[in-house]
Parts: sequence; structure tokens; C-alpha cells
Amino acid sequence: MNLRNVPIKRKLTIVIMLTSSVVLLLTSGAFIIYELVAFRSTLLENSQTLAQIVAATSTAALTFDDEKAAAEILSKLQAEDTILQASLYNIQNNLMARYPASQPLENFPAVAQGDGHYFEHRTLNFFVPVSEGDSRIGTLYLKTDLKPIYHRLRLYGGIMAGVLVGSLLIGLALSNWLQKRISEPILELAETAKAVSIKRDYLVRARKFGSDELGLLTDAFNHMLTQIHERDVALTESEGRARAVLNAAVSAVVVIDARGRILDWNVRAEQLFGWTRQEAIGQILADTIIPPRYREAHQRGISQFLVTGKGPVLNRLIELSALRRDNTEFPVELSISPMKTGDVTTFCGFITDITERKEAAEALSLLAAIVESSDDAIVGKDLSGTIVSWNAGAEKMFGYSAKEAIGRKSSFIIPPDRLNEEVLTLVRIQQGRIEHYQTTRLRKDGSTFHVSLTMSPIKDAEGTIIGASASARDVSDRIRAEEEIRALNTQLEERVLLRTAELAETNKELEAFTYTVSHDLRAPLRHIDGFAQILEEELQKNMSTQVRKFINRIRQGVQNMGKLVDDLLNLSKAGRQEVTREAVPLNLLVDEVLSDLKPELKQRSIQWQIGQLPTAQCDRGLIKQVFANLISNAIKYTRPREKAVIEIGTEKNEGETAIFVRDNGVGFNMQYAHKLFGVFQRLHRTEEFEGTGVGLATVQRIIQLHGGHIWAQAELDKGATFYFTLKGIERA
Amino acid sequence: MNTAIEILLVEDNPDDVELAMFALKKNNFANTVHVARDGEEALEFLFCRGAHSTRCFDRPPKVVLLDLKLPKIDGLEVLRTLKTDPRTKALPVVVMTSSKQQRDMVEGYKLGVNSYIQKPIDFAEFREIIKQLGYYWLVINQPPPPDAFK
Repeated sequence: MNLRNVPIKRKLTIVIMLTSSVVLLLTSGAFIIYELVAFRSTLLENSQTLAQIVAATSTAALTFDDEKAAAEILSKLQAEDTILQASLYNIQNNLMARYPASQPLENFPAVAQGDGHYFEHRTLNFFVPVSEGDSRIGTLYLKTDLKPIYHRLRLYGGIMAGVLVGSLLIGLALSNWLQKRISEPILELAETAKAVSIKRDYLVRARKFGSDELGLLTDAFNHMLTQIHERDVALTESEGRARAVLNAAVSAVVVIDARGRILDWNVRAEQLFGWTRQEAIGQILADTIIPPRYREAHQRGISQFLVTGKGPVLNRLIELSALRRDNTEFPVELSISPMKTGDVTTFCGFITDITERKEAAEALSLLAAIVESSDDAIVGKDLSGTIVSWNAGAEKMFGYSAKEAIGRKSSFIIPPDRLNEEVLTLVRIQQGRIEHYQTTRLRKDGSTFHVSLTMSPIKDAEGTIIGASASARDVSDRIRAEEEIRALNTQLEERVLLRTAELAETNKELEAFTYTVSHDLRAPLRHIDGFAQILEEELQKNMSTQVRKFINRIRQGVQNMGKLVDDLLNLSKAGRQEVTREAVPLNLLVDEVLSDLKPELKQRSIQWQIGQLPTAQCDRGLIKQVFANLISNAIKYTRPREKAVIEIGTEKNEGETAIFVRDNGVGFNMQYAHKLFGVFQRLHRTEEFEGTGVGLATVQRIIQLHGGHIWAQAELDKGATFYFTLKGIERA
Repeated sequence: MNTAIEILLVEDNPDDVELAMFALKKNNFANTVHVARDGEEALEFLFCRGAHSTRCFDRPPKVVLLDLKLPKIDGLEVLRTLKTDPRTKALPVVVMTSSKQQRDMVEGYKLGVNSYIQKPIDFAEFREIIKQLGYYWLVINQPPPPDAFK
């Protein structure tokens, strides 16, 4: 146990107890030693005296060599219980008598030894001469028990131990009572000191117990506390002021020590970097707000300063990047000042977020670059018309350098007849208006050119108009091009008019032609038929069957020709006609067609399967022609079928609704499908199936006019299906 | 001329005239037919001018069969003249033409034609039409009274 760390209370107790027990032990030890020595010498004296007496009384017995008397004398020693053994030796040194006689002879010394005493274990042995006058007549041996000595020693030991324990107990009680006098004020002081140091409460005071040294100490301590309190108050105030100043600073203020550890961190720093003051203090600055790539330089800078007292970034403004808590970087302006307090160097950094400033500067330089790099001439003027800025575009366009132009009134680049315009524009600019116009300008070489000009007001931060910016674009080329285009347009319009007139003429001729065809081609046919019939009637009686047959051939030819003329007229009409669209339910057209075809169906057995057809935006007459053609074809080509099936319906084809007319007629070989829609193209012989080869061509033209398309799917002898689509089919 | 003219046939083509006359003859209408070979002649006949200045205006035909494609003055022009003149406005006019032109039909009806017939190529059909026409206009139809021509 190390005494040093023992509380003072116990320390005092231990000191007192140790001191008193050492004193007591020494005292009783001395006493016991003294007692032992004194008792031994007393015992020796007593035993010697007894031996003298026994020796004196046994002289006679020895002289007379009376063993019986000798034994008698020795037996008298019975009264002295400390005598363990006694024996008498005659002059010849032979054992004459012994005590106690009961003990065997060999327990006694066989012969007398030299005179004197000597201590044996627990016994004191004597050899005493027995003399008669001057002559020696024998020797007495006595063996004395030392038990009484040891008995007494034990008694003393017990008493000593009792005294020791008693006095120690008293001492303990006494010390306990006494140490309070000393330890209590000290403990009180210690408690007070602890309270002060832990709670930083400088207002507590230690209690004074007396006017001794401890009292003095307490007084001194209390006085010191008073002084500390006063300083603390002053310090808190000054620190509060300093903190208020720090926190009021626009910049983030960061104080670090020479190891780069953050010592102080103001409110602005909290806002800027995202670390609270509590979190920041004690952190290494480099790990907190310095981007990794600067950290080494930062450490180097601090070390360099500590050695040389100089640093590259100290006491001046520098720009670099800082790191936010979320690891984003932003530009800052930084100034660092070293502060020396005693031997301690700290660094105070003032950090300002310059993101906005930087962006503004960048935007400004970008704007300047845009202005400078523009091909347009961009010229700044004040309100009096004096040029204040002149970009590269202006230099190129006007031929004056910026040096020549800036500071002059802008009238030197304006043709004299346009000066008024400039004055009026400046007036309007002062009213805040933006002016766009085309005008002319003067080059340095005196030539004029066309510009497209935008003049807008320049406002200062308060919104006051302080000047105008004019942006001019050389549009000479454009104007020339525009003029050319205008000329070309005029030409084109004339040409279009001419063409339209030509076309109208052609159309008119074509119409006249078809009119003529319609009228004049038909007339001879009628005549042929008429006269052939008259001929037939006139010759009726004498006519051979052969002649009748020829006349019939003539008349049939006329009918075919008539049909051909009609079909051709339809085809040409379909090609030229304008489509008049209206909503037509297609089922209605089919019904009309079927009703028109009724006479042809008299001899036929046809199974009709007519589905629900959509309504279409189409030309009623033309689409009816389409159905008429397709349906009469289906009727015609199913003629060989005993049971004809004609189906009309819709199918989805590539997202479009296709309408189809399907028959189970003779069909055709798909090899010839490409010929289907050509004029005069026929896939069947006229003897089998009559026809002009114009119908499907007309149908295709009508479908094309409607923005649709038509196609067919067939197999020889298995029937054919004709599909068509129309642009105006409404979703069914 | 003993018999009053009941039909004025305006037709330039001699073949057509012959065939029409043949058909009319077969139905016994031929005696009352006058043929005008162009539009001018037709108008002269009806308005009693030129070669027909001696004709009496009071006795108009019962029907005019008018071809459209005519020399000098074409059929539609003749029709317009007839239908705009109060003296001839009431005169029944039947257009008979080879043409199937819709334009002519529209124009004809707008001008007030009383009937519009397309001559079929089949002569048998044509004869049937002539027969029905004659029967209708000469027999069934009540001609306009004289007051209608004033």
C-alpha cells in the first residue's frame, strides 16, 4: 500500500498509531529484559546460598563418610521445589548420596566436575565444594529448575500485550478525535477546490475552522477564488464580445493551432461548411474543409511557417476551393493571419463564399466573350449618342477600330439622310422601348450598306436607363437575296399563271374532246345498229341464217363499242374529276348497286354475304362506281358456278380497314396480277367473259383519288378477292 | 301543207334524221313532222322568220325533239331562246341526244326542258322510245292552250 495515495485522514491515524506502538514496544521490551536479567541473578544468588547451606550442613557426613546422614541432609531439599536433583561426592569424587533417591543413578553426573554454575536447558546446575576448615572434603551438585523464570516471563508478556492493546485502542480513539482537527479543514478545502474545478463555480467559499496555518490557507484560497471569479467574469464578457464579433462577421472565421486542429469556428462557418461549432472544434482542418488535393500543401504551409515564420498564403487574399460537409466543393476567398500568444502560434482564417461573385464574373466574361465574338456589330452608346463600347464585329463591319470609334458621337457611321432616325430612336430608347428596324450605315471607306438594327436600352442596377446597345447585322446579302427571291417569285407567279391558263385551256380542250367522243362516237354506232336492224327487217323473208348471223355480229360489235366508249369516258372522267367528299355509309352504296344490277341477276343463283361496312368520307358517285365495277365483275366471273358466293366485308390490313369483294368464281393466275389494273388489260378471253379492260383501271384511279389503294388476291378456279382502302374510312 | 305540224325534229345528222323518221313512220307520226337541220332553222321555224316567215305563229308544234349538237346555234342555245321568250316558253321541248354529259343534263333542266332522253345505241330500244314519245306528247299530253303562247 502506497502511503502517498492514502487519504489524509487515514494517513494521520496511521502516523499516530505507528508512533505510539513503536514507543510502547520499545518500553516493554526494555522492561522485560531488565526483569529477566534481575530475576536470573536473584535466582543464582538464592541457589548459591542454598548450596552453601547444604554444603555446610553436610560437612560432618562427608567427614565421616556417613552416606545415610548425607542422604538425610539431601532429602531436606524436598522443601525447595525448585531443586530438581542433588548429589554429594566425597573427596575421592565418588557419588555418596543423591536426591531424589528414587531416581536411577545414571541420571546423575557420575563424578563431580569443576566448581561453578552453568545453565543447561531449563535448568541451572551447580558444583559447590564442601570444605572443613581450609581443606576440601567433597563436592555438592545441585540442579535447579528454571521454570519460575519462564513463568514470570510469560506473565510479563501477557501484561505487556494487554497494556499494548489497551494503549493502542486509546491511541486510535484519541487520533481519530485529534486528526479531525487537522484533516477536516483540509478536506473541506479539497471539496471546495473540487467543486470549483468541476462546476467552474467560482462563487463557492471554503469554511474556515481556525486561525492556524490551515485557516490562513483557507483565507488565501478564498481570496484566490474571488480573484478568479472576477477574472472569469471579465473573461466571459470579453470572450462573449469576441464571439459576437466573430459571429457577426460576414466571413467564416476559423482558428487552428499549429497542428492544424480547429480551435474556433464561428456561426458563418457553421452555415458555410455544414459542421456545427461543437463538431468542428478539435477536428483536423485539412480533413474537414480542405479538398484532398490541397491537404498536403496546407500541411506544408503550416510546417514552413513554423520553421521560417513565413508562408506563401499568409496575410493576403487567395482564392481556392473548399469542401462542404456533403463533399461538394465551392469557391472561396481566404485570408490567413498567424497569431502568436506567448509561445503558441495559432492561425486565423477568414473564409468568404465567392460562388455568386465567381458565377457573376464568369457570366460577365462569358457575356463579354459572346459580345466580342459576335459577327454582329454590337455598339454601346450613352444617352447623348456617344459610343462607349465597340466590339470586334463592329470593327470588321464598319472598318473603324475600337480606339477610333469609342468616345465619338455615332453620327460618323450614319448616312446624313438617316441622322434624324438615330435621334428619334434615342428618344424612344429613353422611354424604355426596344427598336428593331432596317436601315443603312456608312463604312469607313464611305460605302453604305444595309443593316438590320436592334437598339435596346441599357439600365443600371436601379433600372435607370443610362444608354443604348445597338446590335447591327449586315443584311446587304440578305436584302440582295430577298430581292432576287422576290424577282424569282414574280417570275414564278407569272409562269404559274401562264401554266394554269395553259392547263385550263388543255382541260377545256380535253372536255370538248370527251364531249365530242361521247356524242360523235356514239352517233355512228347508233346509225350502224339502226340500219343493220332495218336491213334485217327488210330482208326478213329472203335472209339466209348466215346473213342473219352476220347482222347479229354487226349489232353485237356496235354494243361492245358503245360499252367501250362509255367505259373510256368514265375513265377519263375519273382521272379529272374533283372528289367531293361526304359521309357515305358504304352499305348504302352496295345496296344501290345491287338494286341497279337486278336485271342481270334474274337467271342467277347467288348467295350474298354482305357484312357491316363502315361509313366513309368519299365521293358518293365515284365510290358507287367502284362497287358497281367490283360487284359486276364478281357476278360475271362466277357465271360458270352453279352456286355463286359473293362476299362483301372489311378486313384489317396493316392497321387500315380494307374493304373487300370476294367471289368463288374462276379467279386468275396471280402471275398476271400486275396487269389487272392496266387499261385494256384483260385476263380472260372475250368469248368467255365480255369486257373492255377499262373498268378496273377506272376503279384504281378512283381509289387513288381517294388516297387509298387497291389490290387483288386470287387463285385460278378458286375465286378472287379485291381489296381496297380509302383515306376517309371512319373507325367502325 | 294540209296537215298541221305536230313534231319539230331538230337534227343535223341525215342518218339520225332517217332513223328517227323510220321509227316515226312505223308509228304513223311521220306526216306531221318537220325537220330542222340546225339551230338557226329551228328558231326561224318556230318564230316564223326567214324561210318560215309565212308560217303562222299561232300553230306551234305539239313537241320539239331537240338534238344538242347542232351547227350554227347549238341545242342548249335554242332551248334557252325558247324558254326565255314568253311566246315560246310554254312549248314542250324534249332533248334527244347521244351525249351522256351530266353538264348538259343539268343545264337543260335548268333552262326548263320538259324531258331529257339519251338516244340508246340499240335501235330497237330507240324505236320503242320514239313510239312512247309520240304517243305521250301527241296523244296523252294536253298541249298548252293558245293563251300560253302570248
